[in-house]
Amino acid sequence: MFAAWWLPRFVLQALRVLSRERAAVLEAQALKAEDARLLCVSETAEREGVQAGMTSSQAQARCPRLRLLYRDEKAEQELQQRLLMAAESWTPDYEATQPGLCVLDLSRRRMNEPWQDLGMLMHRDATALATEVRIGLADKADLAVLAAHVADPVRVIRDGKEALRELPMTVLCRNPELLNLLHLWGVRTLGQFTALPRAEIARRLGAEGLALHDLARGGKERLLRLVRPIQLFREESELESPIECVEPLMHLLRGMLGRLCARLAEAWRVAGRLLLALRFDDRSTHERDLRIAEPTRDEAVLGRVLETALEGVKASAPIVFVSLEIVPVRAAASQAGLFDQGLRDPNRFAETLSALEALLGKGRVGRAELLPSRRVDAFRVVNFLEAPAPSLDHTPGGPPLQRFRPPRPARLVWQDWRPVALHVDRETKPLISASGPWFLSGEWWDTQQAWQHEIWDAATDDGALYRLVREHEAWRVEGRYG
Amino acid sequence: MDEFTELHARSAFSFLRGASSPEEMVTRAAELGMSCLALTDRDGVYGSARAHHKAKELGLRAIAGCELTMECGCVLPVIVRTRRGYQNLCQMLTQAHLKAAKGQSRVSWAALEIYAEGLTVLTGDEDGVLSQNEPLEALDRLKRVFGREHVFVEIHRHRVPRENDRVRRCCDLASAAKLPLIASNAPLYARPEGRMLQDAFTALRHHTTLDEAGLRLAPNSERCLKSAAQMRELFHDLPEALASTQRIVESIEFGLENLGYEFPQYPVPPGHSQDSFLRERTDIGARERYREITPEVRHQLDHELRLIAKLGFSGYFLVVWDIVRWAKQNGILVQGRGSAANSAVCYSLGITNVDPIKQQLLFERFLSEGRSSWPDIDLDLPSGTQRERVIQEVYRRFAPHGAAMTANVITYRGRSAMREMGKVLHLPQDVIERFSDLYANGDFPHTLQLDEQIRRAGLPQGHPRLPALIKLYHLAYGLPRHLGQHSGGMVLCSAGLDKIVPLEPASMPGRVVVQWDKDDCEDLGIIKVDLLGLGMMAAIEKTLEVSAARGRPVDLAQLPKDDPACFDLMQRADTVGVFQIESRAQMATLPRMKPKCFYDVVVEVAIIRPGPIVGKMVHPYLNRRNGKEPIDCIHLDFEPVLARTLGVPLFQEQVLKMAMIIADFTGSEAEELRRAMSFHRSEERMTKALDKLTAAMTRKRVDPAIQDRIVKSIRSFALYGFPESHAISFALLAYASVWLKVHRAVEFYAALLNCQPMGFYSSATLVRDAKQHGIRLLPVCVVVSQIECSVIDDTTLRLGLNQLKGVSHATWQKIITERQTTPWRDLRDFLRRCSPAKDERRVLAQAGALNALGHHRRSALWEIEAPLHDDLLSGLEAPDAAPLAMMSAHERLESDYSTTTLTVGPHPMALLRPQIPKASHAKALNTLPHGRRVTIIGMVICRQRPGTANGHCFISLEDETGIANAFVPSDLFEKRRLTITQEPFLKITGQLQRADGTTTVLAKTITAFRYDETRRVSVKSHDFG
Repeated sequence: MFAAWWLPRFVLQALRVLSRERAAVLEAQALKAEDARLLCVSETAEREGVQAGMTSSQAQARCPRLRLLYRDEKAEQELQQRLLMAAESWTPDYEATQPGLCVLDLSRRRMNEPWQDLGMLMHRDATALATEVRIGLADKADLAVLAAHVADPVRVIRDGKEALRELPMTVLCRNPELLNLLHLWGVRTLGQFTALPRAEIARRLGAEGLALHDLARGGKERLLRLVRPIQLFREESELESPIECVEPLMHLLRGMLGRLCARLAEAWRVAGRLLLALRFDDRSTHERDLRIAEPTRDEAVLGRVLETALEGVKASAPIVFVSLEIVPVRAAASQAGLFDQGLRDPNRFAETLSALEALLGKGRVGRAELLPSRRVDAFRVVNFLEAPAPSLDHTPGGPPLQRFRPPRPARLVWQDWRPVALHVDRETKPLISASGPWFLSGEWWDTQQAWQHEIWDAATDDGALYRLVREHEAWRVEGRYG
Repeated sequence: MDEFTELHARSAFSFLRGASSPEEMVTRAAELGMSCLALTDRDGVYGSARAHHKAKELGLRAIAGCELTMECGCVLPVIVRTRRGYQNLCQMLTQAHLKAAKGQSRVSWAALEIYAEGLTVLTGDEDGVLSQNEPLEALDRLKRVFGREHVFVEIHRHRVPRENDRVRRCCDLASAAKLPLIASNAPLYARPEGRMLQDAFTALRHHTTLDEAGLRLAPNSERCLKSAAQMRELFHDLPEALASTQRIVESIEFGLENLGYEFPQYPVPPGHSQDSFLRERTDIGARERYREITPEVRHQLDHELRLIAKLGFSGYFLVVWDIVRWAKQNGILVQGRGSAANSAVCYSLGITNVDPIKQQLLFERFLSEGRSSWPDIDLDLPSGTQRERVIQEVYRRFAPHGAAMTANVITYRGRSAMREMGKVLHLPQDVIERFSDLYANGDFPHTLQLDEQIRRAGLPQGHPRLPALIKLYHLAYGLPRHLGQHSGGMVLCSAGLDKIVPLEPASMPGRVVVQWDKDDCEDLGIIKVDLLGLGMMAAIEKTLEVSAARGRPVDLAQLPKDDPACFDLMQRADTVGVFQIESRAQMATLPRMKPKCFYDVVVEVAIIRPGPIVGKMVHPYLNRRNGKEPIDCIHLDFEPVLARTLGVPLFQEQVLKMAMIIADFTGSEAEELRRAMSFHRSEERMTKALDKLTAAMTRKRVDPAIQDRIVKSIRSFALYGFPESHAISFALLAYASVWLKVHRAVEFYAALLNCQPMGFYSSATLVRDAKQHGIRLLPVCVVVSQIECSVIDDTTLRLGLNQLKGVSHATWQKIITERQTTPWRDLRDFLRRCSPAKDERRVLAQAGALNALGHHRRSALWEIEAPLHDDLLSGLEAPDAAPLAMMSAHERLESDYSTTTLTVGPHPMALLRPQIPKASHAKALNTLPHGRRVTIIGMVICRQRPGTANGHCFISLEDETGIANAFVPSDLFEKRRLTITQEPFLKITGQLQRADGTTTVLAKTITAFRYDETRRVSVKSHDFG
């Protein structure tokens, strides 16, 4: 026996849109004009004449109060994941047939209750996921899917397939060219399709037509493409006696590492990342995502990485829960060349970086990478272990600028449109020469990002050459040359 | 002499490499106190004519030049010193453009060596020759090609940090190569705010967004035009670089006013001059046209020939005469339009078909003594292949490079500006689309405010990119986007057009275009012959052909102009399909106008135009015509001029004559007054012309009150202006088409369907109209249909294979050829011998074109999908009956519309009628009383929102009985804008208004009328302002 769980208007349900709302979904990032057509329409909007495939203007002509939403693929993935998790609570044998549809193989389950009741129980479970769920039950997987499409909210089909006759062909067929041909033939429903001679279907539509014909008749016995849980390399421990210092924690973690590394070895994998989670007695948590510079399953190396990462951790309560997960990767297939320049011990380097990050804070350790912007100091910090981006050819020449971080606020004294004195750090310095102004500006198209700089290079009588920058009407000394 | 002249400026005619129009650049240069400006657009002189014109207006000197993209990829700015230099530049650009794909021109160094004379070269900016490897070698090469004294090393300062390093490098190079420096700001826009648009253009050019464009965007807004003082401040340490600009300016001898253009002379027989041969041809033609040359005719011809000879236009008339003669010899209908019809010479030469003497037309409207510009002769030709034959013949005669089409500058308008600016700002595609959809079809005057339109499109008011979008939209609006070709304007030249203006390949194979549009050409005195395609000419030509073949020949020249049946049809406004008087507005006027003679058709053609409507001329004319107000000719002396238009000056000729009568103006003075009246001329010019008129009237002691009325009347005339001769030419075609509709109906409808798209209505509406006139239309059939729609008998026509959408010309041809060999045995035989593509098979079956082979549409659709096996047994086994049901009436309708965009079966509304018993038939509206509340439902065939209607909208709904018109007040239009513009079927409820024989529904509510079966049924509605 099979059960199919179907979430109609899946794209809309993922956006948590209520069925009574007048809403429609568009592709989030349409590349061409013809892509900007409605993907999915709520039932209420459909009643007002809005149909998937319309442009948003056509839809708003029919339904002026239509809410237009953009597709959220992440939300769809989450909803799909929740759907599968709910299915898993019923049986380990289930198939993710398509987004918003899964089929459960219940043959291994002992069935005491009538199918309809079982369906109702499933529906009660599934309604926690989404506002609209339909459950179909039948003794074949594809038939269960069709049953779900005629369910309200549960439908059991044992023998009589009459109810399926009126189902539209769009339920089974997603090939637009074939659908168009069927439309030309006047074949809109499963009943009309199954009435066509099978041999003639084969002549005209080939294997695809035959498969469709079988499906329309309720499908053949088939094996589900079962979803198998991904093997997790994870150890957790609820501690009876809370831990208060690093040493016993490390002892516990080394034990976990030993077991996890043994499992890694069985799976021919090495550790790419370590995910460490600690929960404290006061319910606060500490989580770390530690990248392994050179993936390995060497327990000692991994242990050192953990130890370094925990060095700076301070907590106001003892640890009551520990979880350690290894994200496995395949071991490097090739060995570095004889003349390749690289780090002698990347993991040790990573440990050092980790220690520095513990000291300075997250995102404050790495390599500065220039951004392709006219803003002179536009950069981002990237992890040392990431491959560097191709260098940008806009590095200004001239003497090096020793930047003040943060820049020092300044005031300028002007004469004949040129600065003659610099007031900075409560000190006034006469300027003996100044070159400029230079102007730089960018991101003018966005009021939240627009910037504009006026720049002068000015020399003081003590021989120092400063870079002065004005932004938002305020002057600052950005650095000193040389 | 200025201290500094900008010699390397680009305009938006550098296409995405400049952000201001040439006019704006010149205006800004004038504001900055410059006396010269060199415009050096990329790979062309596209903007030079406009810059020249504007500079002349502002008292500046526009210097010609351009940036040449070299084969190595570097870009060389060159400046024209002499006419020879200009000719060289044009030839060099022509060669480069003609041998490359559109927009990919590259000049070879070898070509540069040939054509360098008369040009000065600069080293350019960041794309210039110094950015290449081995800059010294490049400089040596330039010296060798142009001569040392004509090469300048260009330096810029754009207030970017470290730019002095580059300046120093340039100085060192100049010093090493012993070349002078020249300062330039290499401006890309007139004012600093132009930087925004330039950045947007840069992103567009690189097919990216502003966010992603990164370092390709400008560092600041300094690439604008700068004054001498600003440049002096920037180059205070290099004054010689500023002085060099003056050295170059002093060396320039050439301006576009000295183009050296000559119109081709006609190759006259020995012993003849251009003038004598024109006189001979005119005399021969006049004898044919007039039969008897009366003294009046002789006097007029002599007067015209004398003036033509005096102005040196004889060659031009002969060339046009020869084109017309060639067209006629080749069986192509041709007719001159426009003011040429005022000329008895043109009439005698067969160029026009209107006798100006009989019609009392004023020759001075066409040509007058004081006129220096070329007269305008436009030729109407049947659209399509016939016109193309004439164009190709002109190319052939003036080859090589003696003839080309004028360009058509496509500019950024509302939709395109929003689409492209929205794209670079990375706005959602659906927002951009909704913005476009809110334009309400067509580019009629737009009533929605930009910010409101953007809000309705879905961009919230507080969006951080909204201010930039609005700014960019305004900046881009009206700037050139790309160059197309004019629909029919050809320029001709005797000594090689490629020395006058660069030529480029058009997108259309076999066509070459010049880099200027028709106004630019006219401003520079280059003559244009318009070879315009008229769908109606093609339809008339085909009607005549078929009528002759059926033994019912028609001689257009001999059509009786007083046919009562024709006037009856016009008075009933039964004019769907005829020329000019078929539009909604024309049809609304015809019952009030009630044309009774040919001249009424002339007035009808002229009066329903934006000008007379805005000038409030329509109602006085109709009121006077219907005796509701007295006829008043303003002044007794005007009676001979205005009597035929009941005292309302409708035509340009009338204004000219009024001025000649009341103010003793000469023909050329009157023509000058008319030109000043043209709406696009300046207020100042108009006031000056009217002052002159008033002064002359005062001298003649005309009553001040009368003077005032005359001036007022002429002022309101300024809003329109339509030559009577043009109206007569069009009325001839309109009358001919009415005559054919009445007396050769079946041939006429067949021709109209064969010439689609043309005219005001879609094929579906023409078919509905034909049926109402008792014509039976038979569907497309592979057994009997010809390629074109064909006439079966006086009341029956068969749709042709050309009506099928999605079936190729080759397949049409194959069907005809194979069928002529052996008739089809059955469907399989047809499929085997014709081998139509899969999609074509489906279209044929769906349209019912295979029904005659023993099938209904569905069974044919079933049968064509089965594979064909060419084995020995094929043909022996009969196919099983198809298991598919026949199509319902709704399905057949849907199929008809999707395959032929029309149906010969019942109208969609006829099928729906049982569902809508309360809705009134279109035809029944004429029988209902004024003021009755009615509901009309139908297919939208026209949405009009003319600029003259203050935002109100006219909608025409078609049902199975005819067309119902609705008037939608502007507030209701705004409320239901999207419903009106997006829905193919509408339900309108309102109050019936009947007056003077016209019926309209004043709309109160408008809703979409929808049902599943109409989902795929719609016609292309005719929407414009």
